[in-house]
Amino acid sequence: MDARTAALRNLIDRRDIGAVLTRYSRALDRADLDLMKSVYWHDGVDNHGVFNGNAAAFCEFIIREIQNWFEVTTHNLLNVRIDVDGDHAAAETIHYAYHKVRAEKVEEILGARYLAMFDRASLDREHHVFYAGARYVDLLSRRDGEWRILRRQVVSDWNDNGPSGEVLDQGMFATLQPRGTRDGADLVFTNTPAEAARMGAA
Amino acid sequence: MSRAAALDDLVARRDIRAVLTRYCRALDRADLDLMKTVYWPDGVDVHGIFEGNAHEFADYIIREIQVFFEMGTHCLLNCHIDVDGDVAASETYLYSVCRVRPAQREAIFGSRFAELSGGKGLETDRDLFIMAGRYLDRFQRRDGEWRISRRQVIHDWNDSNASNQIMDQGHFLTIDTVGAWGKSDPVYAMGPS
Amino acid sequence: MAVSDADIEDLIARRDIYEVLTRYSRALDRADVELMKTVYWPDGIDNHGVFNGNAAEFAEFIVREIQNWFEVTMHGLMNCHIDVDGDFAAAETYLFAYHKVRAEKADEIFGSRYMAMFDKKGLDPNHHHFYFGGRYLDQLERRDGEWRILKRQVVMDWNDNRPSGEILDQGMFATLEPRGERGHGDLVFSNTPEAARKLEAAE
Repeated sequence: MDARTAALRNLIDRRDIGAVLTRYSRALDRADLDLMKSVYWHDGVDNHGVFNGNAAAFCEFIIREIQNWFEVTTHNLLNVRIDVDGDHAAAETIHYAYHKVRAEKVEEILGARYLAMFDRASLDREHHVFYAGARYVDLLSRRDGEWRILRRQVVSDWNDNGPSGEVLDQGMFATLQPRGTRDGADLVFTNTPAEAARMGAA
Repeated sequence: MSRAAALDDLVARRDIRAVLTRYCRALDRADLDLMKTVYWPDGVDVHGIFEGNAHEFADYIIREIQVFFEMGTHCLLNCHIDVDGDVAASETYLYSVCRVRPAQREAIFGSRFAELSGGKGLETDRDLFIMAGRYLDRFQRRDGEWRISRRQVIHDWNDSNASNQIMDQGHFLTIDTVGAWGKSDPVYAMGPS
Repeated sequence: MAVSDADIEDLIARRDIYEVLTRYSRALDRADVELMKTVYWPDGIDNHGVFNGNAAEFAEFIVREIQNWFEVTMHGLMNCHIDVDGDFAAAETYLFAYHKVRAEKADEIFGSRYMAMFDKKGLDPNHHHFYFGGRYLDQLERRDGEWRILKRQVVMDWNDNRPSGEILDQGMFATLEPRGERGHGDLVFSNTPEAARKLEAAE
């Protein structure tokens, strides 16, 4: 493979691996089980702390539990480093996650000490936010031209928790519509090049 | 733009992004040798707390970041790169979170924070230093390699708080893999360079 | 594995689309209305919650109001997922935005419930921070080789607000200069490849 082709191949690989990483966040935040499973090989593994094992089993676990535990999550991906070598790659992605804890789950998730200090201290008296800083350390492989995660390891760097200061119904916040959803009706699913073409043709 | 020129531009952007993320990896893992690969030896870093030769900055920051903080995460957000032949300029948004060592509270935050916010968190002796801004970088390519020749850090905002981190209750008990300074961090065994 | 012109074109499209997205943040955070207008087609639309309508009108509205409401903003772009199909594309970009609310605007921005609980409670008693987590859902079109936004839809996932813990004059913060600015005094506008070339020539 000449240098030019190798460079282009590398750029395409990074593009495709980047898309796997962003697809994970979309799947988790939209609670889309099928989409999440498409991110891993069937023999893949996810070591996530709260669950360590087969990736498909992790997907089922996390898509279910994330809805039980949290009203809203956003899994924000920041700096990504990728090394590609033929059909294999390694990636490290810094991430910063927001979780709005369901009122009835605060004690289970945040523990008694947090509750003793902050129970009812939030603006709405009920909700608390768990922020996490961590890294996804991934091994990926390409099979038949498609990249997916073979093994994901979550490495935790920090967390911070606090009573939610969220406002939804007063001040400027009343205008901040629409909100994201998990029911398949989120506007991301109709945000497509085809829709853009329809707009362009109009 | 010809196909060759387009590819050159895309490769330049890939390599420049790799330098930017490598800086954060070096800083957050306190890897001095790696940090030095980010800058030309005659490079300059204008960093607020330090202004001068970039390799001397590397010596300084890798040492001091471990004195002040138990942990640091330097997160890169939007990255805008302009490339022109062998030179380039970039603006990269930064969001950083550092856990301050107990003995350093007053040095980092000053007396007002120490008095009003110190000790008020779930963790009575830990605080988060949160600072956001932008890296304004000038790059040069020499013999095919891109490195920073000048970095200017801009401070846009900060917002610090007493830490409410939990590791020993609730769901946090399930956290089994944590980051660290240096080569004991899990990324060295499992991740990319 | 063969690679083609179509692959290069796809990578260039992604490069250019991402650059449009970062240009938007620069325009907004530096309050540059002319720069912001270059991000959208003239017939473009922005549905932004606080304003829904023609994108050029939105640009004028937001660059004006953002200076009225907030002392400082940061519009941080994170995961960016782009789908390209010929001359059209769609992007979902996660956003983390910070806003330092002007003291005299706190009541209007936050509402009475927040102010009743948190007025004067910060380390800086006059300021509060409004954090926004959401996504830009964009539809883009390429015309004569240039990509711009045809339609932007902002979706809010969460917000979080707190009394300001900002420090500017004590501890390590006193050394964190220079600060960002709105307008062309900000150092980003002199940070160019040309400046990098001059640096090299000086050595």
